[in-house]
Formats: sequence, structure tokens, C-alpha cells
Amino acid sequence: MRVPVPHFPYFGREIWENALTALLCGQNLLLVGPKATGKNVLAENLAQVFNRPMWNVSFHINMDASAMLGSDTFKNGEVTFRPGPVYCCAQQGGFGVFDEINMARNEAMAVLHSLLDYRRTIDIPGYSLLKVHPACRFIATMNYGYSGTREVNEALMSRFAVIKMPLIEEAPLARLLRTEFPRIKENALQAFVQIFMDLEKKCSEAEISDKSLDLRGLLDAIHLMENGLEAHRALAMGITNKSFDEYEPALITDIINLHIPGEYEKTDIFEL
Amino acid sequence: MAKLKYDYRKRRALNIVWDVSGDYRYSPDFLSFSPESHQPNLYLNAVIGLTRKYYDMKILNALFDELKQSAMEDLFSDLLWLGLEGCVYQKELPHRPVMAYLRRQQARQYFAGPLTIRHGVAQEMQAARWHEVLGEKNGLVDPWARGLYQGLAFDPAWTTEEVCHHFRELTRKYFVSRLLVRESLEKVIISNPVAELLKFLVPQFARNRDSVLNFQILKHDENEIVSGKKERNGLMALLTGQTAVKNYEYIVSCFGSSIYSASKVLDIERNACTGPHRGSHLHFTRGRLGSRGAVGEASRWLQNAMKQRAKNLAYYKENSERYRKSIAHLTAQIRTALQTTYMKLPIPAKSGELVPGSLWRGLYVNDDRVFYGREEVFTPDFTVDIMLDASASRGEYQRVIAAQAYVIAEALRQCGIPYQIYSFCTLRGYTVMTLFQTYEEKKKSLNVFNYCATGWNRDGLALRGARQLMGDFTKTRKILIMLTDASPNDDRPLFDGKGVLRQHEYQGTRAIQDTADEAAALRREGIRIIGLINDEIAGGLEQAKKIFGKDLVRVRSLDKMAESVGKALCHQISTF
Repeated sequence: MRVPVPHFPYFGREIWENALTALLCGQNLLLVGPKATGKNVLAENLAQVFNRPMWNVSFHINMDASAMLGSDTFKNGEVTFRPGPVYCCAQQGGFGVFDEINMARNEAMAVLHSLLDYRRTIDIPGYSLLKVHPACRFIATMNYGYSGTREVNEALMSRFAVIKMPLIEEAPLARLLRTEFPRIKENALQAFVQIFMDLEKKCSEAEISDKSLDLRGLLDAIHLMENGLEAHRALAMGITNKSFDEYEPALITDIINLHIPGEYEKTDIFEL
Repeated sequence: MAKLKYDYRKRRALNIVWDVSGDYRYSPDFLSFSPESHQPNLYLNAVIGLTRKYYDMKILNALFDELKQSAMEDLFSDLLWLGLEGCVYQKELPHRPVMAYLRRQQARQYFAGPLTIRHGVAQEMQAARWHEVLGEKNGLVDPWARGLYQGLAFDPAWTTEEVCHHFRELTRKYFVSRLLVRESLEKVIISNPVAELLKFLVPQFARNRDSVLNFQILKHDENEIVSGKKERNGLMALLTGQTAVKNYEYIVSCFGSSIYSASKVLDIERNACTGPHRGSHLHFTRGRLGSRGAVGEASRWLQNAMKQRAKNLAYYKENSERYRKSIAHLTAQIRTALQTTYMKLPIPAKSGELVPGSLWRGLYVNDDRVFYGREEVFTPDFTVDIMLDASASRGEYQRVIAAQAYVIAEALRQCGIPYQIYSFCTLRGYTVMTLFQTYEEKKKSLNVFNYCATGWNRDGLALRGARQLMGDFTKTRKILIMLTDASPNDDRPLFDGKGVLRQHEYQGTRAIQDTADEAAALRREGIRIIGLINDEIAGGLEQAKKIFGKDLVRVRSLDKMAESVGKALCHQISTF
């Protein structure tokens, strides 16, 4: 039931090798990289390859132990323990994905230390000591973008094998678009790939913020085009309008116009 | 505002050039704007970028410079660009099919625009090119014009040298011999009426004159630094033997009058200028510009300060692109730190958001805190003080320090964090705190470019001065960032008791210890102090550690100051 069926395959031999080896050796993974590098895609792919159920926990600043491990609940006139996602995952030997681990407070994460290191146990005060299932692994993701982010402290970091996720390159992106949109014409495919590459470059040069560097947005926009919306309008919704800066949208529009002509309709983009 | 808009248009045009050339370090001499709306022209700026992509700009720029010498500069530049447009288009088309569309759009725009009514060779050639692009006849009848037009169809296979060579030959053939003026292109002189007529041709490619001008200002600067430094040294030599009145007058005429009333000054000095700083003075000022009314040494100093401001500003302008990026980086960095820090963990409360998991506590253990309370919404409840060492040892780095301080200030301003910036230096027994920006001021802190270095640095007393400027501590927390070389020095003595024997020079270990004591006193009051030490100036790291402890940031190069401050600030913010 919980074994994911990823929507996208992850492309990248070296990363696959690193991740598989680490997981086979019983280690937990921390995937670090800027937006749109496929951190969650890889995590899903890994869970599928190992055929393990997956629990996804999105971390946020208000995260505390009870949200991860479980909390007290009142049932049939009795106080009982309601297991949280991390508890279930550890018990059933699943893959736990800690999304945006650096967004949680380091102090809140201390409860996970014994779970993540050689002890592989977790003590729920007042209840029981849980031994982690041998097949259980944790994969954390962390956005480390151009503008810098909160750091994860040493104690937590040392419990993970860290993979730096490379920015998506031209060839894998083209492959991804072709898989997602089998009927896309070669010219249009190249144009969209180049738009994304140019945005990435502009972001790394700090000319624009990374709000508009949005691979999901690009894919969504192409979906809109597939359903008949003109390309500029679709890209505005998927990419340009995500920036609320006074000047940025013009820079992004220029990039788009440097790759696709004024009226770019469904017939120009897709084989019918 | 008009300037800002202009800058923005320029930045947008630059971005188009960078998009296609892929080289974000490239600073083109030409940018293209539409003659009507003054908005960047997408196609022509792309052509400029593509020229950078495919040709050696050093060689091409040499040719453009050569053209500048001729009376028909604009005409020749236009023709050269027309030639280049043709071949970069052919080179790029296979990689970027949209070029065909953009080129047609450009042609249409041209005929819809105001330039078509102009006459002249450049217009004729351009019109012919755009006619052809639209699939029409080029409209050239004169064999001379036809020949020239054909000559402008550069072969895409040519190297940069071949392009330049061809163009020189072309102009020689069609202009020099036709007008029978001179043989060499470099010295084409044309009679006035012809030159006037040629001036009438408005080039679509406007030369980016700004950068040229800035460059000249900067070169002029370099020479002046040496003389400026000498002047400061001369000033230092005059430090002995002045009477108190003269000293005060001198300080006021150099740095501007005090921001406090006389009674308040006395009050401050009674508190601050005691102990080791007995006999020293503190002078708080907003600084002054212009040397009106000042005489002698003070007048020279003020003129020097004026020049320094011009240098600081010119340096910032010259590197404005880089600093703008620094500001953007730093702003984003601080914002992230703020966002992740200022949201507090929810606390159990008697009202708020119901937590079903704790309901049982209400029923069974009579604990009615079964809700999560929300803490107050985010408002920055801390302020930042930036204190810059402005002693003579900073002489050579003044421009960089001013620019970096501006970057930090601007980033703080954009994040909505109240901040103050001041510099300190010590002269004739007065530790002068020049306040560039106060917490209340919301405008851009351009005053920071008034930064000018002179005199000694009595860091211990400056810290007492900073304490005074920070004002009330009860409501907000304070972070003080101090740029220093960690080698305090003053010609006035340091006292560690009464009597002549308890007088020591304010330097070395004693001065360090004094500064460390003052820093510790501030820390006891709850102020976070971050020391910024830079390696370019020899200051023992050990000494700095004594003063700042762990909160010490080494700035490897002053260029990276803003970055280091960003890291240190984020650390401080996240540990509040």
C-alpha cells in the first residue's frame, strides 16, 4: 500500500550508485541541493526500488517530538499512545523521508539521535522502547540554495551519509520532458530545456531570486499547453508570476522570448 | 526615481546580453534601447550578446575604438553592427530557432518606428536589411549602395581578424576613396556640412558612455590616493602641543558640531571618560561636508574628505553590479534566518488552537491548557549597530570599507531591521563618533560614503561611545558589529590608577586588555558584539580573540566583508 509509485524516474548514475550503496550498508541519507534537483524524486525512487513502504514527514519550524513519534490520545476512556509517522516507519521497516530537515529546530531533532545512529532504538517515555526494524532507513532532504539556508547541527549531520544533488543538466532534463510529454516536438523541447537552463544560470548569478526557478512550474505549464493554452500565458502562470519582485518578471519574460516566438500554440509544440 | 528606472532598463538590457552570451562578467560597450519607449530592444541586445559569444571582443573593441577617431563614427559603428548582425544570426539560428521570429519582429518594428523617415547611408542599409528579412526587395538602386550592402554580408566562417580586416577594406573602398578625403580610416576628416548631415543619423546602437566615464574617474582616483595618504600623515605629525580650546575648535571644524547639547556632553564625559580614559573626550557628530569657513589644516582635511567621498562613490558605482548582487544575497540570507527564528514553538495555553491529543488532561488531571497558544507576530525586536574603525591605518581600504558597509546597511534596511552606522577615530584626544545613519532613518544610507579615515583608534573609549549611541536597552536587543584591526592605538595615555607612574601608552597588550574589558562590560549588559577582523591588515588574531572571544569573524578579504557579516548575523539571530 505505502510503497510509492514515483511519477518521475530519477536520472543520474553516480547518484544512484552512491545512494544504493549507502542504504545497503544500513546508513541513512541526507540529500542536499537547491530547488529542482530531484531530492524527493530520488527518495521515492529508492523506496520503490527497495520495495519498502514510505512515510513522508514535512519538517517545519513548529515540529516537535510528538509530531514525529506520536502523541497521547484518549480512546475508550483510556489514555493511549497514538503512533506518529516516524514510529510507524521504524516499527514496520519502512523508508522515512524527512522533507526539509533543516527547517525544524535542531533541539526538536535531538529525540531522533538514538534512532539514527548505531543504537537504532527509540524510547517513548511512559510506553516502551522500540527497536528499529532492520529494513528501516531514513532519507532526509535539505534545500541548500543560492541564498543560503539554516544549517543542520553537527550532531544530526553526523548521523547521515550526505549526497550533494547536482543541478539538473540539459540531457536529463530533456529526457525527463520527453518521458513526461511523449508527443512534444524536438524544437519545442529544446526551447523549454534552454529556458530552464538560462533561468538556472541567472539564478546562480543572483540576477533573479530562485522563486521562478521552478521545475514543477515548468512541467505544469507544459501540461497547460498540452491542453491548448498559449505558451507565454502558460509559462507566465507556471514560472513568471511566481516572482513578486518589481523587475524580475521582465527579465524572465526576456529569457522566454529569447527561446519561443510570440504565438506558440499547441500545434507548434506537440505532434497531433 | 528617474535614475533608478534608467538603471533598471540598463540592467534588463544587460541581462539579455548575458542570457545569450552566457557570460555574466561581460560588460558591453553597447546596449540597444528602443527609440520611442526607451525599453531594451530584445533582438539587438541579443545580437550584442551573440557577438560576444562568437567573436573576440578585444579585437572588435579595438576596431570600435579606431572608428571613434573618425568623423563618421556613428555611421561606421552602425554599419559594422549591421554586418555582425547578419553573421551572428546565421551562426545562432541552428541553436535557437526563435531567432528567425525575433528578426522578423525587429524588421517590422523598424518600419513601424520613427527611424524610417531619416535619410542617410546607415538608414538605407538598415532598411535594405530589414526589407530582405521580411522577404521583400531591398530597394537599393544606386550601384555604390548595392556594392556596400553586399560588402556588409560578412561570411559567418570568418574569424574576428578577418571580419575586422574586411570591414577596414570596405570602409576604405566605399568611403575614403569616394569622398576623397584621406587614405587612412583612422583620420577620416570630412567637411563640416557632411559631418553635420551624418550626425543627423541617429544610431540605434547607443554607446554606453556611462561605464567609460566611470572608468576615467577611477584612474584619476588611484593617483590621488597616494597624495591623500601623505596629507593624513602630515596631519598626524601635528598632534602635540595644542591647547584644549584649539583642539576642540579643530575637531568641530573638521567633523562638524556635536549632536548633543553642552550639558549632555558633559554628562556623557563624566560617565564615559573616566578610569583608563581619563582626560580623553568623546565627540558625537553627524559629520560635515564642504570646507566653508574652515581654515588651514582643517580646511585641507575637509577638502580631502570631500575627495574621499567622491572616490568612495565612484568606486561603488564602478562595481555597482557586484555590490548589488551582494545586497541581494545578504538580504535573502538574513530573511531566511529571520523566518526560521521568529516563529516560536507553540505553547500549551488556555485558549487558542485546540489540541485533541491533550484533551484527556482536561478531563482527568484537571489541566485546562488543552490549546496551543500563538505567540506574537513577527517584528524584529533587535537592532544592529555597525561601528567602523576609521583610523589612518584604513587609508588604502576606505573605498572598499564604505562600499561594504553600504551593502550591509542596505540589506538590513530591506529586511526592515533598524540599524545604525557610525565610524570612530581618535584625534587630539577626541574620540570622534561620526553617525552616518540612525535607527529612525529609513532612507538609503548614502551617508556611509562620507567614510573617511584619519587619526588613531582608541577602541575602548569608542565602545563606551557606542554604548551611548545605542540608547535604551529595555525593549530591544542589540547587536554591535565592530570593524577593527584589533590593534588599538592612541597618543593619549591609558591610566590604571592615579599618579604619573600609573600612566601607560595606549597601545599593545594594555590597550587590548582595555578594549576587551569594555567589550565584556557591554556583553554583561546583554549586547552581542561581533568583531570583524580582516587579514589584509596585520592584526594578531590572538589579540582579537581576547576582545571578541568566539564572536569573531575573520574577513579574508574586505571584498567578502558583507558575506562574513551575513553569516555572523544569521548565527546571532538564530540563537536569540
